[in-house]
Amino acid sequence: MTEPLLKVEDLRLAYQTERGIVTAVDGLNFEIRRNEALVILGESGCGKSSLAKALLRVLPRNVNHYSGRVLLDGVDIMALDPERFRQDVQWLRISLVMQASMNALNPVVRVGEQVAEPLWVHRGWSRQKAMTRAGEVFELVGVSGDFLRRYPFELSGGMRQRVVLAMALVAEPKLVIMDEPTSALDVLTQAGIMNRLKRIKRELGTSFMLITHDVATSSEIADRVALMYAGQIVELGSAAQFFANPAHPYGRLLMDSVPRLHQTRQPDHIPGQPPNLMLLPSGCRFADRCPARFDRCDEDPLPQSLSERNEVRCWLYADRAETGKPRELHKTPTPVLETRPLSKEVLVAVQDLHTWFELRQWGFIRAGYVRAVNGVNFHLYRGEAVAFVGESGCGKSSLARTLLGLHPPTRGEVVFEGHHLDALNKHELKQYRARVGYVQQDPYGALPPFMTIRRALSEPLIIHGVRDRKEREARIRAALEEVRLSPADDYLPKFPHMLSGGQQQRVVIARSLILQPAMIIADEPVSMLDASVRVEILRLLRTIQNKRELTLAFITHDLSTVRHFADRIFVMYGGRIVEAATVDDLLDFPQHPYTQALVAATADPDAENAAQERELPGGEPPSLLHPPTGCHFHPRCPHAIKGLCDVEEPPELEPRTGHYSACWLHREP
Amino acid sequence: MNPSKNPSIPKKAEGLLRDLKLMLLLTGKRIIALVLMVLIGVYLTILIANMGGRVDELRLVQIRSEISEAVRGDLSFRELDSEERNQLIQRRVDLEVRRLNLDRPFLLRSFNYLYRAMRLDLGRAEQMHSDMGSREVHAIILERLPATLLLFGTANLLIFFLSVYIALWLSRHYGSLLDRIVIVLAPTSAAPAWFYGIFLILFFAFLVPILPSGGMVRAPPPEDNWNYTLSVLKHMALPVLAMLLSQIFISIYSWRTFFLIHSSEDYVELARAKGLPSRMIERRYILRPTLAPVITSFMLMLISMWSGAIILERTFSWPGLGTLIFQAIGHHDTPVIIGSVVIFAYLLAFSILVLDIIYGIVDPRVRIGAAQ
Ligand SMILES: Nc1ncnc2c1ncn2[C@@H]1O[C@H](COP(=O)(O)OP(=O)(O)O)[C@@H](O)[C@H]1O
Ligand code: SF4
Ligand code: SF4
Ligand SMILES: [Mg+2]
Repeated sequence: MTEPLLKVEDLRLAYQTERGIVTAVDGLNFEIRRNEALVILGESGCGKSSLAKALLRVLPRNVNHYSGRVLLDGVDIMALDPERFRQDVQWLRISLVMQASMNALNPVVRVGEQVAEPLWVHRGWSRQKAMTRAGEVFELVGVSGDFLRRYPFELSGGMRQRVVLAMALVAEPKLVIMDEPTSALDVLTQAGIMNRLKRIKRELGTSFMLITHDVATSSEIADRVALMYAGQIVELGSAAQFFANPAHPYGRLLMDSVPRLHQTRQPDHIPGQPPNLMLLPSGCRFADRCPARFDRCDEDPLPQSLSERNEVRCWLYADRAETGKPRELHKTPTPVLETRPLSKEVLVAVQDLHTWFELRQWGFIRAGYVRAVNGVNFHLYRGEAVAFVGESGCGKSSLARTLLGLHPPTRGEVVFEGHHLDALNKHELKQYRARVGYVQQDPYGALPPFMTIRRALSEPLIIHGVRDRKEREARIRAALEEVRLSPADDYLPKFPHMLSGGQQQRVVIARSLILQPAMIIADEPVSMLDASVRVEILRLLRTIQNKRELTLAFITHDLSTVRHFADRIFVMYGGRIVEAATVDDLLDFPQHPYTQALVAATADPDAENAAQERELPGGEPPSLLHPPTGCHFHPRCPHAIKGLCDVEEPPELEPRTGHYSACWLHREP
Repeated sequence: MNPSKNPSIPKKAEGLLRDLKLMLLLTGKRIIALVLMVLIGVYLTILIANMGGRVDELRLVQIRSEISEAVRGDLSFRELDSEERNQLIQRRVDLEVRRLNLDRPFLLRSFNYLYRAMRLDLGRAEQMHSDMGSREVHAIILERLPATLLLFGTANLLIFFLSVYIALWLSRHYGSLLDRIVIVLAPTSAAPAWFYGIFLILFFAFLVPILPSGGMVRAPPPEDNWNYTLSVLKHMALPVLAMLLSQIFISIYSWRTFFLIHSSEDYVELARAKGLPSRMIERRYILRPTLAPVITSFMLMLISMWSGAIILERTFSWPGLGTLIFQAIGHHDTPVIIGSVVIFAYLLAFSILVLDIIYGIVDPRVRIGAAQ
């Protein structure tokens, strides 16, 4: 057997905090072979980033305990003194791609220099030579060499992340650690970067350690998967085995909770929360969420080897040797969401709506318009759930804010229950706002930090003239009950920071419901939440919408979440709606080339994904300041018709009954 | 890796050229904006000062005194009796008044004043004169300006570099003894420089008399340059120290905190992971991105120190602009006061221009953003 490239033995890392010791990495053992990609999969807070930091020794000040052996090519790099480690290991042999953030690059240093830096620092190359090499890796990750002398703020988010990737590859290290490299990016950009990674792995033979919370992304490159839970690896095995048939109960529940584009079975959520890393239970850490728990689980489970390079930390597999098969996992099935037939009563009619923002220079000279919403038409019926899907910057949120009456439309109109929105006076506008609830993306930002939950929920009631204290209290309690925060007394006196993200989002939903609205607009309601909580919140929204016969406008960039949580879908691109249809028709028979690209870029977890690259359009999302002429998608469209698509805006056509698409391809021959 | 391909790498010179162009553009724009600002500021001063007709009165007085001096000094008018001489003077004054449009609406004249003020044609002092004996306000002011610039320039540069250096060091050794001392001493900066000045004078000039208590140079001034410089340095020591004491702890403390916050930025962490030496991380990844805000806070500090100049210079009898204003107020010498305001407006505008240019150099976002 060949010696692995990296072998980690009993790695531990703990932090000292005011409230106690946080054990973030608790005795990890794993190995990575040459040209192998290991995915570290786990919910946020399970210690994934700490693992990356521990391997590269980028530790914060408050480390309490740091131990273990890390063998790189057979040499224990943990035993090296800091200076040796810095000069020999860092970047030349192990490099890091940081969690995709706007902040991973120094804002005042040219990106080329930042990429080339390690070469002149560690290898003593001349700046010129290092810069030439930087140009090569720029091409490798798909960024033109013209950008070498640019600054980070002159690059789009996707390009910046490619630059960070180029930086990691510049010294041709044997191992690249990537911490959530794409999670902040758009679907198409994300898929484009994953394509690059696959090619680089194939061509350069680099080993990767990819850290992610996203099961679908992880399947894009994984050879092997390590599933982490509360600081430990609970399952370690090949990607083929893990994605098809996970062994650990947590792995199975996690796979069931993943929303999939091409699956009609509804995703379930995992009840409960991961344990506090300061107060770990003595037995199995997953025990209080585990449907298969039995008496032995009070003891800390030992890793059980299932086959070669495949182990599970769960007692279910302990007596397998005797019985030949593991104990059964008993899971109470989650009830299937009901949907009601579509009503024919139009609640909202939107006609030729434009929301433009004036861009001013020096505060007075008009520099142009940002055409955030650029001519959209649609009807929303009473009691239906619709999803607006599109990449960030396509105008989804501006549309939401216009519907909420927060921005006046530049042109066109919104008619709500027969009333024209721009004809409303101040008092009527207030009434209108009570009829439309709003659920924001960031629940923590949406709740005033210094208000208790009771206060935050009574606020809208007071504003809308509910004077009676008793009535307010009753309505607040009913709303909390409806979002399943019960008993209400546990939550009413709390402040937002004392609640988990999912609970905060429930409070925000309760607040949006409390004035008995006819419609709720939810702008990316789950994108800031963890995967297992997402499904839970979406189910909740869908259930409430159904029960109350509400109209729900659900805004998302993630196509895979819409299947079970909406009746109809509108796909937006560059400030316009390019395709509209019922969910199943749209997902199964996408008509518009942009929607087809989105569907192609959206991965369902499958070990096969790693083997092939996806067909994707190149280019960047269109500028809303200077949108392309004709069809906004034409610069990226593989089917664009010269002389037509780039000149004339395509009309809305109906290639299938009830399925609309704005594309010249559907015109009558 | 892919040697067949020849990636296009822009030449270093291209980047530099672009930066140079951008900087020129930025500087040009800023100069126009600042000239406008000074114009407006000085014009407002003129308007305000003219509320009570003060400036006109001054001009009249000045014209009258100039003409009568000329007439009286002219031998050819010796024979005239006082009545005739007064008439002659009156006629000439009237002529001059008409020539200068003093009988015309104020709006017209105000622009004339503005023009003169901008050209530093500040008129003549009523009472005061320069050491060289000139009564021209601009001569009086220009004589005092270098002293002020020397004192405050030295003190501020010293404060700036010392605090940045120490703050960087402390951000690395956060929690050390020196760090805790700085935290404890930070509130002492609430007291103004002259307050420390008084104690310093008491201590170094009287208790342990090793340094002079006031003035700028020994009297009589030493002949050779070397001794002259030495004497000036000695005289500067106490006022500079006073300013240092009143500013340095708070600026070290606030910048150290600032650097500390910025050293947990993602790009700093990534630089650590890259294995860059810690000095390089400090300079390139902590100091450079934060330099622009650091300079801004320094500028604010500087402006607030300007306003303390009058009392501080008074305390140390430093013959600068502050002392000049103090004396001018004492003498009710309005042209000198107005002139000083104009000079201050210029100084302020100039400091802001320098700040803007430095800003553009250290922060590409400013440079490139301003050009778009
Ligand atoms: N510097 C630190 N001090 C104290 N606790 C920390 C620190 N960094 C991370 N943690 C805690 O360690 C746990 C694991 O964090 P992290 O490694 O970032 O997980 P992940 O990357 O999986 O989200 C979390 O509970 C987090 O709050
Ligand atoms: S050890 Fe027990 S509680 Fe833990 S995952 Fe296995 S069955 Fe569930
Ligand atoms: S109209 Fe033309 S460019 Fe636009 S999506 Fe259709 S084929 Fe492509
Ligand atoms: Mg993380």
